[in-house]
Amino acid sequence: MSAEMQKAKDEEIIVIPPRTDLKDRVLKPGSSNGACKRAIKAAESAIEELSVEFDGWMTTSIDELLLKLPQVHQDGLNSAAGEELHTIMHDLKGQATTLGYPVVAEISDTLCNLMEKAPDTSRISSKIAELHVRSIQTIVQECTKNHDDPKANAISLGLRQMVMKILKQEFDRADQK
Amino acid sequence: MAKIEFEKLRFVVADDNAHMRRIVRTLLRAFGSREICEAEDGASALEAVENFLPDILITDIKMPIFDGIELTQMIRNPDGSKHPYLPIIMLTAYSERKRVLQARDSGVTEFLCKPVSANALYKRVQNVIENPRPFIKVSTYFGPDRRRSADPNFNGDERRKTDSNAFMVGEQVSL
Repeated sequence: MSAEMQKAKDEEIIVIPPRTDLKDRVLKPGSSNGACKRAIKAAESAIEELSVEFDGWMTTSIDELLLKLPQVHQDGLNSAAGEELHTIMHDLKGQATTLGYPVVAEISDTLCNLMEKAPDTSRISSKIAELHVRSIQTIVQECTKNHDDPKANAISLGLRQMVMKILKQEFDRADQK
Repeated sequence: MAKIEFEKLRFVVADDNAHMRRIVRTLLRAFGSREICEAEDGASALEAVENFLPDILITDIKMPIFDGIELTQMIRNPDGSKHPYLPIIMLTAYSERKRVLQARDSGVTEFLCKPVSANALYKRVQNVIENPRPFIKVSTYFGPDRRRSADPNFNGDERRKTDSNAFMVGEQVSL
C-alpha cells in the first residue's frame, strides 16, 4: 500500500447527521399522493400553456446558429466561434425535447458528441457542423413535431452514422500516432 | 408520505439559457412555489445563494464565469460558505458517467438529466426534502454521503466517526 493510500485510510471521516430543518418546515403530515399527482399535472399543463412560445424559441436558436456559421468556417471548430456554436447546440440538446422537437435534440447531441469526443477538433471540417445546423433548420421548417416524422428520423440517423464513422477514423488515427 | 408545502420553499435556478430558466420556473410555480430567484452564471448564482438564502439550488453545469461544478464546490466549503448544507440539484444535458461522478464528487445532492419533466423534477425535490442525507467531512470532500447503498460484502474497518451520538455509524443511508 502506498504512503498516500495509507494516509487516506488512516484519515478520520466525520459523519454529520442529516439536517431535518427543511423537512420539518415544509412537510405537512398526511397523505400526499393526491397532492403530488395534482402538482405534477398542474406543472404539465403550465408547460403546455407555455408551448405556444416554443416555436419562437426554436427559431431564435436556429438564427443564432446560422449567424455563427461564417465565423466557424473561417476559424474552425476548435475556435471561440466553434465553442459558441457548441454552447447553442448543447442548449438545444437539453431543451429541444421539452419544446416538442426530440429529433432536434438528437441531432444536437450528435454534433456535441463529435465536438466533445474527437481527439483533435481542428481536424473536423466545419461543414459537418453546417450540415447539422441545416438539418435542424429543415426539420423545424418542414417536419412534424415529436418522433413520428420519417424524414426527420432518417436525417438524424444519417448524421449519427456519419459522426460515428468520423469518430472511429479519428480514434484509429490517434491510436496509430 | 407527507405533502410538500411548496409555497414555503425558496429556490435559486441557475442556468445561462433563459428558456431553460423559464421552463424550470414555470414548473416550480405550478408546484406552488412563489419565491424563485434566477441566475444566469455561476457568480450570480453564488451571490443569490448568499443573499436570497434559498432552500434548494437548481443549477446547470455549463455556465459562464464559473460552472455548476465550481459553484457547488464553493457552496460546499464549510469554512467559507454561508450555506454549506444547501440541497443542490444539478440539472444538465451532460449525462456521461464522467460528468455524473464529477458532480457527485463536487457535492451535489441530486443529479437530473435534461430534458426535464414535471415528474422528474418533483421527485428530485421531494427526495431532497424527505430523505436528507448525512454529510461527510474529510480533507478532500465535504458534502452529502456519496454511498447510494450499503455494500453487504464490505468487511474492512469502519473508519467513519459521527460528530453526534444521534446518528449511528452502522446505520446505512442512501446517497
